[in-house]
Formats: sequence, structure tokens, C-alpha cells
Amino acid sequence: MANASIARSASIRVAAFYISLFLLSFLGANFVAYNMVAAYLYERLDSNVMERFREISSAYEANGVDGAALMIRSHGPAIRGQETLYTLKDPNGDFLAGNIDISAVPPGFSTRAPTSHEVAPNNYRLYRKNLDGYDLTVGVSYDDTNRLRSIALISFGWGTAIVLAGGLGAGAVLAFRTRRRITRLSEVMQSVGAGDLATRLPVSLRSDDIDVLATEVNVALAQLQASVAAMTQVATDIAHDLKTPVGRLFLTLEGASESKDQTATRSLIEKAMSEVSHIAGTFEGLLRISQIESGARRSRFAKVNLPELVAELYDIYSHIVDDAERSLVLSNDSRNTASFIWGDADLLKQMCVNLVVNAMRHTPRGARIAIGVTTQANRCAIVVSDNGPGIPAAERQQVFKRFYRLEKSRTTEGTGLGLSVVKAISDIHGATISLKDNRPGLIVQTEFPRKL
Amino acid sequence: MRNEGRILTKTMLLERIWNFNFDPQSTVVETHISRLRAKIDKPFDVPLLRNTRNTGYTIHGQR
Repeated sequence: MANASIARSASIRVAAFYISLFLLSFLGANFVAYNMVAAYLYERLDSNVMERFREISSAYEANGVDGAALMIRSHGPAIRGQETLYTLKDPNGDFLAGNIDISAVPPGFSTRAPTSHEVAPNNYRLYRKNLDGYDLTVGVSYDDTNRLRSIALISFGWGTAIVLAGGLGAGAVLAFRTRRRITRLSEVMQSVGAGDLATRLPVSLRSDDIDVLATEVNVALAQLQASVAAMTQVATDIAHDLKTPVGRLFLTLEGASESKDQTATRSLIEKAMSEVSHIAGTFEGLLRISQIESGARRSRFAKVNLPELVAELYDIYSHIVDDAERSLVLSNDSRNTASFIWGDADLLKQMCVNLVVNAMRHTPRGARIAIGVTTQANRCAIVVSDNGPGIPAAERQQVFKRFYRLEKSRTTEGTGLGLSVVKAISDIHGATISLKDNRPGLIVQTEFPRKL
Repeated sequence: MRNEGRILTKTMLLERIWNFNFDPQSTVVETHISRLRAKIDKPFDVPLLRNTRNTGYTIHGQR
């Protein structure tokens, strides 16, 4: 970025484009304005000439040829300025009065070019007309008109130059400033790329489009940082949760290899096998969660009748819960009613199983576990409740984390992934899961949008 | 009875009977097998249902 040519900078290109566009239209406007000014100046010159002519001709009409000659002479001082020319001739063509003897010009308006021996070469606008046989020609110099015209031209030129300089200067300043900002942004992004996810892009108070973009990138960076932190946490948790069983496995196998007694060896090996199947269960749980979280199963979604699914699970699990010396009841038995949601029946079954097994594991003997479905107008929920010890309010959000266990000694069976799987399943169904106090015990309510 | 004499693993039983395509982490199969055993084998001397250690279960008549 630092080596990128300034000409390639987007802002300088935009500035150059707009300057040339502006310059073009400005030049066009100036051209039109200049022509209008010039046309006006020539018109004014013609009316000037006519005015002078009328001065003389009205003097002639009032006082005859002498009056006209007197009027021409009274303009004497102006005559020396070479700005006005007069020629009055009698009907015979003899020069009567004036400051120059002009002959052979056409009647009406004409333009006279300077002759080579004149001191101050100048163009004149002439008007010639016959007054009862007397021939009168009046001319006014182009000098003043030309000077005004060139002043107009020069001022338009300066205007264009100032606009061009201002535009280019402002464009360059903007381009350099934008480039400096982008360089700063790209430096930050490079350090993000190098692994520093805690840095954020600078956002100015102007909140222009670059700031909007920077804000968006900052939000994305914060999310990325959070998910990388979560992933690091998960990796640490996995390492931690596997270290203990693998260590135990090693000790068990060591004991088996040193044991002389065959039955003792056999029982140690069986213990090792159950340890291995526990480790395999942990991996399976993790894979299951990432498979569910990937959302790939959404393509298998179909209409599922929730009360029917829950009743079916009740039939399978009531005996198991009985054997574990707890009781399972089907609350608001709605076996014959239909309440559909959009989902994956396999995952929903697993969700119920995990919740029931969880309730079984974390309640004392004789506890009562209830499973059921509640239906509202556009929502329907799986509710699993028990009358065990429950979960303290402060830990209710924690229990969905992978490997999180209330009981820190980790002596009860289970991988610490059951509720994480439940959460993942609830998430891909767009359901909201809430933990409530059953006074005593726990209510887990998973609320799904209903499919009618 | 369709699979007489064949060993059926826990996973196969879970899938075929209860449509469970996941590990329920509980004693679903064990519980139901023991209940079945109580019903069909208890009154007799020779069991129909046999447990193959660490593999699965078979059901077959007397040989």
C-alpha cells in the first residue's frame, strides 16, 4: 500500500475526473459568456458611432453645413486622441471639415483597417451617409472595445486557472488524506492478519463512509475475537477433559500389566475398556455438536408432531427411569393431539433423551421427572422438569458450555456435553431454551416456533 | 425372530427398534433386554436370549 502510486489512488482519480468535467463545462460556459460580451461590445460600438453621427447631422439640420463644421471642430480635443474620425465633404467632393480625409468607403457601416504610416495603428468603425449632397463619415476607434474584450478574455482565463489550481490542490489534499487514512487502516489490518485480534480500526467523529466501513469491520473483529477465544477455550477444555481419563486409563493398564492374578487383570482391563468408551463418547459428543452447529442437518428438516414424539420417548424411557429408582410421568398427555414444528425428529429425540438422562443423573433416588409438551397459538414447547436440587440461578447460563459441570469433582458419569448438545439442537431449530426454578428442582423449557 | 441366531449389536437394536441414530448414553437396550428376558426366559431353564460379551445379543431356540 505504501508503495502504491498516488495516480492509482481512487480519490485522486475521482478528483481528476471531476476537475476535468468541471473544467470542460466551465470553459464552455466562459466561451458562451465571452461571445455574448463581445457581441454586446460591438453593438455598443455601432450605437456609439451612430450617436456621434446624429450629433453632427442634427447640427446640420439646425444650422446648415456651417453648424455641422462647427460641431466637428468643437470635438477638437477628442479628435487629437485619435478616437473619433470625422470627414465632411461638399457635393463636389472637396474636404470641408474633419480630422482626416477619408474617401472610398461604402455608405452605411464599415470597418477601416489602419494604413501603414499611421503612428498608432488602429481599426475604426465607420458610418457614412449623404446629407442633402454633403458627404459625412464618422468613425470610432476599436481601441476601447478591444481593450474591454481582452479584459473579459483575461478575466475568464484567470477564473479557469484559479478553478483548476483550486480543484487540483483540494483533490491532491483529499487524496493524500484519504491515502493516509487507508494506509493506517491497512496497517491495522496487517497486524490483525498477524494474529493481533484485539486491535481496532480508528473511527473518526465524521462518521463518513470509511468510518461506517471501519465500524463494521470492528464489529466483525470483535465477533472473530470472541469466537477465536471460545475456540481456544474449547481446545483447552478438551485437552483438560481428556487428560484426566487418559491418565486414569494409563494407570489402570499399568496395574493390569503388573498384576499376577488373572481375574484382577481381567477386571482392570474391563475398567480400562469402559474408560476408553467414555473417551470415545466425549469425542462423539464433540463431533455431534459441531455437526449440528454446522447446520448441515437443516436440509433434512420435515414436519414433526411434537406430542407424538415426546409420548414415544416416554414409552421407551419410563422403564429405564423406573429401574433407576426414579419416576417418569408424561405431563399433559396429548398423545392424540397434533402440534407440528419444523425439525429433525432424530435430533429432537436426542434432545429429549439428553434432558431426561440429565434429570435422572442429577436427582436423588425417588425423584419425580416429568416430560410434556405445551402448545400455544404459534409456539409449542418441550418441558422437562424434576424435583431434584435444581441449578443455582447464577450458573444457569454456564451449564450449556461444553464440559461445564456443576459438580467440580466430576465423579458422576457423563461427558459434560449433554446440555451443549441440547443447546446446539435448540439453536438449529430456532428455539429458545430457558431454565427455571421448579421450587424445588429444575424446569427446562424449549420453545419452538409452531408450524401450522 | 427375523434375525434368529444372529448377533445383534446395541447400535443395531437402537436403530431398528427405537429409531435412535445416536448414542443415548443410558441403558436403553440393557433395560429393555432385561425386561424381555424376565418375560420370555424366566419360567424356563434354557434361555432363548443370550448375551454375547461386549458384542450384542442373540435369540435362538434350543439346539
